[in-house]
Amino acid sequence: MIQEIVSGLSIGCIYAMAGFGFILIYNAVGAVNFAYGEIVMFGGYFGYLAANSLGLPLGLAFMFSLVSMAGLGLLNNYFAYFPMKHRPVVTVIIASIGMSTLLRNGALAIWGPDPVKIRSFLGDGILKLGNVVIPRHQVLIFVVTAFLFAGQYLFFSRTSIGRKLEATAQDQEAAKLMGIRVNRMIALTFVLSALLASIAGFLLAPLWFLEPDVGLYIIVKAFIAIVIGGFGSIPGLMLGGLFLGVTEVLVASHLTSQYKDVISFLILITVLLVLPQGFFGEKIAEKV
Amino acid sequence: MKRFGLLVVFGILIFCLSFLQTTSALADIQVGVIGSMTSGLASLGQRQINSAKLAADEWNAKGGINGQKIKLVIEDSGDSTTMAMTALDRVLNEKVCAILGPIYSFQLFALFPEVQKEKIVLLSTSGTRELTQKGNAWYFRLYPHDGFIKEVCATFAVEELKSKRPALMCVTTEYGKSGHEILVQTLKKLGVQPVAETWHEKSDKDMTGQLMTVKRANPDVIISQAHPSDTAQLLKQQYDLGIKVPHVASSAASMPTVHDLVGDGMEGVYVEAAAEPNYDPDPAMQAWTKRYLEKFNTSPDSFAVPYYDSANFLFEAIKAVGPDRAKIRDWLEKNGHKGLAGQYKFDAEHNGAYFALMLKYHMEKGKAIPSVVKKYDFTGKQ
Repeated sequence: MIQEIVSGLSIGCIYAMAGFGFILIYNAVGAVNFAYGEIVMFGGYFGYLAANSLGLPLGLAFMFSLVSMAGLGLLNNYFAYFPMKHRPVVTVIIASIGMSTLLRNGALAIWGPDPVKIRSFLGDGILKLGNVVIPRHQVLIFVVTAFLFAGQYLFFSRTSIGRKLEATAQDQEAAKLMGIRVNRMIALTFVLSALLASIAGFLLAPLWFLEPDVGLYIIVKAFIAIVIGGFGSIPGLMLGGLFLGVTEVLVASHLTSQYKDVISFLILITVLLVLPQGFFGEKIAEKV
Repeated sequence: MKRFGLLVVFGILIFCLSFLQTTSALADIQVGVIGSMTSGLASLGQRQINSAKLAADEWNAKGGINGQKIKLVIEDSGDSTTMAMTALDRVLNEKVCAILGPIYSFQLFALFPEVQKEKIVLLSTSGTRELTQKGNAWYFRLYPHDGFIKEVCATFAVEELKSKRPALMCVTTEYGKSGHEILVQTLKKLGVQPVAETWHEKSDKDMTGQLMTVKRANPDVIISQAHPSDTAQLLKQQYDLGIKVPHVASSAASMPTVHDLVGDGMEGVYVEAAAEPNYDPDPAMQAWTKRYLEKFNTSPDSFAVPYYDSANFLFEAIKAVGPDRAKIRDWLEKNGHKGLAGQYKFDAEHNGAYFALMLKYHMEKGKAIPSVVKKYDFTGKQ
């Protein structure tokens, strides 16, 4: 049982990590970015390009991915959000779906259909704690997720730029009146979100592998974690991700592997019926 | 008046060009190729399409079929039945005389009604048993079907690995369900009961739950039936979790792509396959693999070989009887073909391949190297 819980927590961390940037954009501009799974995927693919194709050391490959993803974040802002920002939310959502298709097919054209992986910073080794085994890479995922969780909190609450972003997210008009350059803050949000995607993509690639369809899997799981946790809430996302990860592994191990996803979705529906706002957030109905 | 004259000249020109195009189209023998070129399924599809291209190029380099060039009409079946059916409509619009179809059975099933209505031969290299049990007189399979190859896996596990407590891990697609059913039946015949049976989705990224179920059951062999990406996850995570039980994997585990993903977890893994193009010492196979690699800059997998054989078998049929749909079907039913992977001959259900290899992989300087541990050939005995 402990093995399943540890593995479930590790998977949950990946779900949460993949959702950080998604929530950032949602909180900043109130739009659901359905291309976020593919953006995470591109974070991994840029790392793969640098580490495997260009032969750069992993550290440099990670930097390459961060820089490339910052560019992709800006492009996403200028092409898929900015021209649509005064249109109805549904237009922005459809633009994000278009971006998702573009990125998915772009990845297929550039890197082909075969799944690929990046090696881990900590290698393929295993840590043994009694009867529980943990791949070293999963330990790295635990640490990075905890760091990102704490880092986001400190960034938004303790730094001037973080507070400006927070103000923009809360009320763009009021932020403008306070002298904050809203468009610049939104662009920065897209860049930050893409940087978080880069970290998530780089770290999930050794475990989940990269293939053009992996983005869809990422966004579905992250979305469920976000809904369970409460839309827009970072602590909620963490809890939702961990809850989903552990539930999936325990259901597959002890109840039924065939209907694992069915049961996970039933749990999601039950949580929403009992707690419509998720663990920490606002009521979903109000957001939709 | 001058403008009218120009229009007349332009019209005559268009007429002549269209005539030339029609004449040229008639001169080529059109063969449809439907396979996944996009989506996650393209990993297999693209290599098969490459095989068809290679076969057609080789025939065309030798003058084509009775002086007529082979023109492949290639369409993408993506990852859905809708795309596969659209692809079928497109190739049919080009008046093809036969079709090399996709590998995925859920797409093939969707194509069957139209193929039967159009009375056109459809060849594929899918393993799903039920495909040839639907009474479709126009469908031909050139890959050892699950009824045969899963029997080989179960028999190998029980007779060669002396398994008494096998565990089954299958994907929830048609392919997985079909394989699971045959594995259970064969094990039952051999007097063995699986101690655990688990399922996973093709897109699943974590198999801890399934593997822990298997571990608790304490099996002596794991037999899996899965697609490339999930096969890689199963093998890698089994290795990571330290479950040291021999694994008899389905043919996806013979793909070089899977080896790169699994790494050291490939050590000791058994894999069923129709062919092993990258390590088969047969000079003809080696020469073919070299040509494939040079042309497409990627290694062929075990599925690419039967597809290449399928294309050649079909071209031989067209050479013998011409591009006549019914005559091609009749010729295929009556004749055999010596391909790279083995001898093909269709049975009454149109299953054409009854040979298989059981490979065992070991790691050598970071590379997964296969050796053939047993050959099965029931050609003509079915």
